[in-house]
Amino acid sequence: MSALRFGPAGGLPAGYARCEAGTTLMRGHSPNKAPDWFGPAVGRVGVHRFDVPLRTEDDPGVCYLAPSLEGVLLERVIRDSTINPLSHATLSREHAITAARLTRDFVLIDLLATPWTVHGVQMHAVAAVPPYGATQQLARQLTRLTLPQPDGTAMCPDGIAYGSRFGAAHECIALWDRAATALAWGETVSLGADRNALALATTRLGVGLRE
Amino acid sequence: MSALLNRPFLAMVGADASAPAMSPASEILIARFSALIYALVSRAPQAAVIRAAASGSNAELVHALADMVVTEAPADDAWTTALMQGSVALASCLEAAGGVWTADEATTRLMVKRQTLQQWRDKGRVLALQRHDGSYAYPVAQFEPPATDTIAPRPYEGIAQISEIVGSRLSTEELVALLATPQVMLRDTTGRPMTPFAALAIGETTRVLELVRWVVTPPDADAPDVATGATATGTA
Repeated sequence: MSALRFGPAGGLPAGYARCEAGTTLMRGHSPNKAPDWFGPAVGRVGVHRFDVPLRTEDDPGVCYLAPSLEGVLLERVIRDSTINPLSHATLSREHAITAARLTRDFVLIDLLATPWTVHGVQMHAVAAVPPYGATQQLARQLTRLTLPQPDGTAMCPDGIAYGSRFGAAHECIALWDRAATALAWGETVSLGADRNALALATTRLGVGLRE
Repeated sequence: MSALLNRPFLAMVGADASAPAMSPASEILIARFSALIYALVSRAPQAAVIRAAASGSNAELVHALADMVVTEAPADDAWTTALMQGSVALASCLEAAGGVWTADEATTRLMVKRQTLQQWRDKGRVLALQRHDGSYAYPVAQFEPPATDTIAPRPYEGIAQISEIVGSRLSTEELVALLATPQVMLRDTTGRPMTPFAALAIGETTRVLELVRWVVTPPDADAPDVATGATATGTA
């Protein structure tokens, strides 16, 4: 089930998506790394898909989240490599997950349903393989996008909603640090802690598990 | 198995009729497995049954049956289903990569003593999968075929480097699955993904090492450690 309501269905113009307050997003990370990191650091070059190419004081940092465990597995664990089966022991030791609850509605730039018709980019450009020069340039443009409001003000979107390059049905969110204070972070647990949820997610992805 | 059914059963599975009688545990397993298969094929779509019946290898057959178990008789326990799929996936990729040697087979084929094989295993020069009885199985694809019959196969030199890069970040099973499966980051001259084992065989060790290094490098390697106290938004 989608965590997003697109365009008019979310009370927004086409090209934007709403993620409602109370929604829980997940951040996959290394156990020793901060889950609430919005990178890259100022002065550093972008590393990931929607980082800006070179972050200045004026650019937002990005935190990558997903509404589903499948999204986390695809974007963090599986990525471009094919490893089947995965090891529960490895997932438990090398990967952690922290949930973040939205304390207000987020307005996201929609690169899932309207990348071409509104934003002028096609899916192959959104899902381009590394190096991420093109998507990072796109990200820089999108960080400056504003959404006019009825009262004449302009709203700055909170981030970008896009589909995983490894399974477009799995929603992913690149969140800018302007939304950082609207996330209530939960406890960090190992990715293997909830065996049942992990097993359901890997099975849905067609990937097996070993102890 | 009852004497009445024993002979037709042995004929059906192609077993030697003069073979010693099976243990009660073996008979129970066969009976349970037969009941499971009967239940599955009674419910499964004909296409799934045909796919299983036409499978060309034992691993393919098990894979087809596992798919039936997952789709036709979902286990109450998702964990068990996932583990079953994991076992089947591992068997499939090992079969596709040429199978495994037991320790006895490996010492014979490699013409080394068991102690040498153990040393290679301990030093990461060979990859060995531990089996349920504690013994090891050695994936055949990690050994470079000799140029002549008088020379024994040897593990590709890259295996030791791969083991060093991976350390404990992947299980041996995961590493073997990685090396035995075509990878999009390793394409041959026609653009088709090839397995890292195949890449090692044509001397593309550097590319394989790059792939393995990439796999074990977490995507948030650039993020600060929890304890550093860096600001979460990455600003000064």
